[in-house]
Amino acid sequence: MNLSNCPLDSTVTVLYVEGTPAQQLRYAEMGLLPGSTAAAILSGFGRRRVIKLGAERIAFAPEAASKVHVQLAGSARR
Amino acid sequence: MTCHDTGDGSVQVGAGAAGAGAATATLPLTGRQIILVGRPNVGKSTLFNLLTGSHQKTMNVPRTTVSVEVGTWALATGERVSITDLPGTYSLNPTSPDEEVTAHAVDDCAREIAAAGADSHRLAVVVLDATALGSSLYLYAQTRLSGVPVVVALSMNDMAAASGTSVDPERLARALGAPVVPINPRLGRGAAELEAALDRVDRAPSGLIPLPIFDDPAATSSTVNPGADPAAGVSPPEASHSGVSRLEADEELERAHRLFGWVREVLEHIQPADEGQDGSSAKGRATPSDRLDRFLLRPLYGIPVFLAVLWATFQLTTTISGPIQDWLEGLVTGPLTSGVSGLLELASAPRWLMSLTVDGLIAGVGTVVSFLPLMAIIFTMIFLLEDSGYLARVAVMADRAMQSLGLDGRAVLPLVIGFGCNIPALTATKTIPDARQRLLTGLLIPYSSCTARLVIYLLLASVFFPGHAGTVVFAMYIVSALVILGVAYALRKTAFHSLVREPLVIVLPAYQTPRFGSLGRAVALRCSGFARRAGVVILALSMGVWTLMAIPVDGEHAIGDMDMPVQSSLFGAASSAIAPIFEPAGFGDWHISASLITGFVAKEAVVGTLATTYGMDEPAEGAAPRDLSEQLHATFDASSGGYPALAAAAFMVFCLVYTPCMVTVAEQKRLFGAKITAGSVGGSILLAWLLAVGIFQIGRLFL
Repeated sequence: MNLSNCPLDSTVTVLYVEGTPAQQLRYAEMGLLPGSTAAAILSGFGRRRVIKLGAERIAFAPEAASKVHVQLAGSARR
Repeated sequence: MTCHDTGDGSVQVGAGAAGAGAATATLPLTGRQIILVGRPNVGKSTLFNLLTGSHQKTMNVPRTTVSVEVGTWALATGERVSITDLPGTYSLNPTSPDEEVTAHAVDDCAREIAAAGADSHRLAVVVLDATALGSSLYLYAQTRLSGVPVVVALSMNDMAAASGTSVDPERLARALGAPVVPINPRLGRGAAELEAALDRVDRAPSGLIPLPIFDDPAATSSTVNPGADPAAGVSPPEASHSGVSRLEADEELERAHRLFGWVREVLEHIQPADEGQDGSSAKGRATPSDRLDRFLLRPLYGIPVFLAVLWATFQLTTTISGPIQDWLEGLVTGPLTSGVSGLLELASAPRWLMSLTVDGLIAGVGTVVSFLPLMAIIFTMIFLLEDSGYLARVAVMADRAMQSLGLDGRAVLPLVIGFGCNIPALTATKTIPDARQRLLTGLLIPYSSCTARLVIYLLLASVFFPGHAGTVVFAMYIVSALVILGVAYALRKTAFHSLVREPLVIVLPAYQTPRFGSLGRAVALRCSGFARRAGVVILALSMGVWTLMAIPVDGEHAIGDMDMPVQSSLFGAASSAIAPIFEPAGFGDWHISASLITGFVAKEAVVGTLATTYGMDEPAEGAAPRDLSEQLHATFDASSGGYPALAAAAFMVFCLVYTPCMVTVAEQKRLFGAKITAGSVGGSILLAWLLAVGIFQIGRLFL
C-alpha cells in the first residue's frame, strides 16, 4: 500500500519511494528513508495525508502520497 | 551568491561569481560575516530580527527574483558584524531558486575560506529545531561538510521540553563537535551566548571536530566521540563542499543515506529511543498541534475555517481599511492642502507652483500615505498567518484548486486578496516560498478585478445595460477569473515552461502564539520599505500626469493655469493622439482615452476624468447622473458606429485587463524588478487591446 490509501490514524514503516533519484532524494532529505522510519498517519483530507515523522508533521498531496510505499507497522512485508 | 571582501572594508552581495558587470550591493564590513542557515520555520528570521533590530534591509539577489535580509549586528564589544538571513532550505541540494541562493552562499563562503584560511572570518550559524532534530541535523551535516565554520543555535527547546523531548545542549555539542547555543529569540534570549560562541570559533575554527563521516563515508554505524573537547586543536576537515553540489542525484541519495545514518547515531547518543524522536513514541504523545490539525485538516471543519480566514483577510483589506484610507485622503486634500496653499499664497508664489505643489506633489504623497493603512493591515495578516503556523495548512487545503493554475496552494491567499486590491495581494506573494511561483502569481494578480474597477463597471453597466447591471458586473468577475486562467496557461507554456510543479509535500510547523511583541516592529519595517521604494515611483508618475495637464498647447493659457480646459492641455492633446488606437474597439474618442490615461494613476480616476472632460462635476458614488449618462451614450454611439453597448462592454474588459494602477506597478517593480514589471505592463496593455477589439469586432457580426 502507499500513503494515499493508508488507513488513517495508523503507524507505518516506509518501504520505498517511487520516482527518479532526484525525486527520491527530495523525500529522503525530509527524512523519508526506506526501512528506517516509522510514521504515524494523523489525518487525511480526501487522499491527502499528514504524517508524523518523529516530532515533525508532513503533509502530502495525493500524487505525492501515492509515491511513498509503506506497510503497517508490525505487519510482514508483502 | 557571493559574500566576498572587496578589500576596501566592504563586502559585496551578489549572485554567482563577482566580476565586471555583476550587480552587487555593498555592506559595511567590520570583521566577521555570518550567514544564517536553517530549515524553514525553525526561527531563523526571528533570531535575525533579535540580533539586528532595525538595522536590516531587504536586498534582491542579482539575476534572480529572490530577496534576502541583510543586517548589522552590534556586538557588546562595539564591533559591527554583517549577518545575512538566507532563505530556508531542507538541504544544500537545491530544488528551487530560493534554495539555490542558500546553497550557493554556503558554497561560495567555503571557497573563500579555503582561499583565505584563518583570516576569512566567515562563519555560519545553523539554526536547529529541537522539536525536529533529526531532519535539522541533515542540513547541519551538509553545512559542516562544506568546510564553513559553524556554530549551532538550538531553537524551540522550550517546546521540545513541553513534549518531553528536550535536548541537552552540552551533549549535543559533544556529538556535533561544534558549540551549541540554546536560543529563544521570541523572548530575546541567547544573543550574548551566541556572540561568545562565534568569537571562540572565529578565533580557532580548526577547533571544530570533524564529523566521523569525513573519515568513513560508507559507514552507517559510525561512532560519535562523546569525550572530545570541542576547543581542542585538530586538523581542519576536508574541504568536501565541492562534492556536495556536484554529485549526481543517485550518488546524493547514497550520501543522504550515510548522513542520516550519522544522524541516527547522534540521536541515539543524545536521546535514547524511549525518550522519543521516532514515530512510535510520537504517536503516543499527541501534541496540541496534532489535536488542532485533526480538527482543522478535516474537510468538515477545515474548509469553513479556511474560507472564514480568507473572508476575514479580504474584508480587512477592503471594508476596514477603506474608512481609514478615506480619512487620510481627507486629511491630505483638506487641512494639509489648505495649509500649504495658504502658505504659498502668503509667499506670493506663482499659480503654476501652487498647482504643482498641491496637484502634483501633495497628491502624490497623499496617494502613498493613503495606502499605508492598507499595507499595514495586510502585513499584519501575513505575519499572523505565518507566525501562527496556519499558512502552511492553507497551502494544503488550497492545493487542488491552485493546481489548475500550476501554482502552490499558498497562492490562493494573494489571488483572493487581489479581488479586493492588487497592492496588498502582491505583497502577500511573499508567503510563497518558491521564487518562480511567487513571480508567476505576481504576474497574474493584476488581472484580478479589484474594487476600484468595480466603480467603472457600476457606472457603465447602469448606463448601457439598465435592468441587467448586476448581471453584467457579475459577468466581469467571471471574465477576470477566465483571464487569470488563460494568462496562467499561456505563461506556463511560454516563459514558465520549465516551471515544474512538484506534488505538494510540505512540513507543517507547530502552531504557535504569534509574537505580538515583534509584530509592531515587523509591520513598521515593511511599511517603511513600501513607502520608500514604491513612493518614489508613485511620486514621479503623479508629477508626470500633472505636467501633462499643466502644459497648454493652444497658446491661450499659461503653464499651470488651473482654469484651462483639459482639451487645451498637453494631456488633452495626448489623449486625442492615442484615441484612434481604440477605434477598432469601438471607443476611439479622446474623452475615453483621457480616462484610460488617468486610470493608470488610479482606476477610480476613470469615472472622475470622464466627468471632468465633459466639464461637469463627478457623479455621486453608485449613481449615474443623467447628464453624464447622455454624454457617455452620445460618445460611445458616435465612436462605435451605432453599437454603444458593445463598445461599452469592450471598454469594461479593457479597463479590467490593461495596466493596473501606478501603486500596483510600483509594488510590482519593488518585488520583481523594472524589467519584469515593464514586460507585465506592456503585455497587459496589448492583451487588453486584443480582447477589446475582439469583443467589439466579433460582437458586431452577431448584432
